[in-house]
Amino acid sequence: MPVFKAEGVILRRQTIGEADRVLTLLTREHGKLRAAARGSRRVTSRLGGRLEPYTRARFLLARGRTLDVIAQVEVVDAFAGIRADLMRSAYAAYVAELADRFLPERDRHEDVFALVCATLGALDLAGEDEAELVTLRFALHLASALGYRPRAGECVGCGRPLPRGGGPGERWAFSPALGGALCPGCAGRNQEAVRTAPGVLAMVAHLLRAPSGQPIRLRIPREQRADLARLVQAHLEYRLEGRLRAPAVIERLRALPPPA
Amino acid sequence: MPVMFSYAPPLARLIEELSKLPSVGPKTAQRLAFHMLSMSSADAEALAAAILEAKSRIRNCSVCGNITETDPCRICTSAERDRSVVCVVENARDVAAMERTREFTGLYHVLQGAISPLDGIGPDDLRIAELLRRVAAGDVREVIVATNPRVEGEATALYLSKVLKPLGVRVTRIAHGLPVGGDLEYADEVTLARALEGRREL
Repeated sequence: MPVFKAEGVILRRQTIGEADRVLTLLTREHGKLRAAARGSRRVTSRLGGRLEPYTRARFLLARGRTLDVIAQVEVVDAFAGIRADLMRSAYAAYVAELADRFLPERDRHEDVFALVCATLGALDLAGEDEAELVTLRFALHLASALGYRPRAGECVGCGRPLPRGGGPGERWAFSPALGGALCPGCAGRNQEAVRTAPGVLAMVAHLLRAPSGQPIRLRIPREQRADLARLVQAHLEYRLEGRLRAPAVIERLRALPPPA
Repeated sequence: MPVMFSYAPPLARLIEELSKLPSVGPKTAQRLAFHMLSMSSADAEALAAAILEAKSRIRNCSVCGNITETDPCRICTSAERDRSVVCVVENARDVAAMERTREFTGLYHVLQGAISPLDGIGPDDLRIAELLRRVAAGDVREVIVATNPRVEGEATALYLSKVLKPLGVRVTRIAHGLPVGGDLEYADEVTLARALEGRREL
């Protein structure tokens, strides 16, 4: 059986049969691919502990008839900090879900691979507030890399730039369908657009410019941050034509303790 | 044109039902169906009855969530079990695994899953509210979190410690380390690091 090597990040893991798993990998060399890890659920499996989601590793894969099979794994970075924290691990799931659902299989996309690695690296060290911003920045950069970069700096209707200093009192909007900001004048003609403060749109513009892999210095009031998260999610869900699962769970994890 | 061969409807139906079982493909289903045809009527009836009986009499214990015939289950009602310790596991098969150790004498709580954002499973999809009620009711001094040592289980453990600690109960996590009969050389980095972290005085 011919073998090949690839470096990748584990996006998702599903169990099949008695002790096997199917992994979804995002590799540098071959893009997203699915591979089987035989017997990896057994306690004595040599693969087991190396195949946790969000792990970055070098893989030796054997070509299979339907699925490639993982022969060897060498961990590059296990991102232990992500696993040690509930919210960080939830945001890592958000990142993995986005990468998994937006990318087609076996379509090489090296810049997205680099983006995912940089984001997981940043999440590994982030506090809860920063973890959310790091994730939203990833979502915006992923959208950009795939050709869905939103225009947040000016109105997509008339080209009017965002007012400086947040434009107190002005109600701007964001249209997922038009993929960008709308000034108060143009927003009236778009029923589907989400109303928001110009300050939130300025944050989107800021995150789009912020280089991935570096810490984010941005102080945001709570309600604006929730707005920002909703807006980014709406933009991506519109492109995906489906609902994202991880953000809904993150919301529920935040609402401690659970309703009895 | 030759007519495509097909089994008599009752047999075809049996094959179809069997092939719905996990890891049973059409070929295996066919083999099982033919075996069943060759069984004595008594054996076949016993098999059918066993399926129906298990299905109708097995349910979840209203206290711990484990599968049981009587509600509350045998473990929950046993006078010999230590009622001050509750071991939290993901599913009923984990209870069986823990029981096989014969080391644990406390009670159980089965969550029926683990937190997994990727699958859209949040804390309110699990039996966490029931656990909080049990702990709030008194008796419990220690909760041992024995969810699986992987991302979903760890997230669940972290969440449980967050919501349980304010109730003034001791929350512990089962140890992670090397399997008995294993070999250091083949251990993965993460497990080995955990084993080192949790080392103890000899």
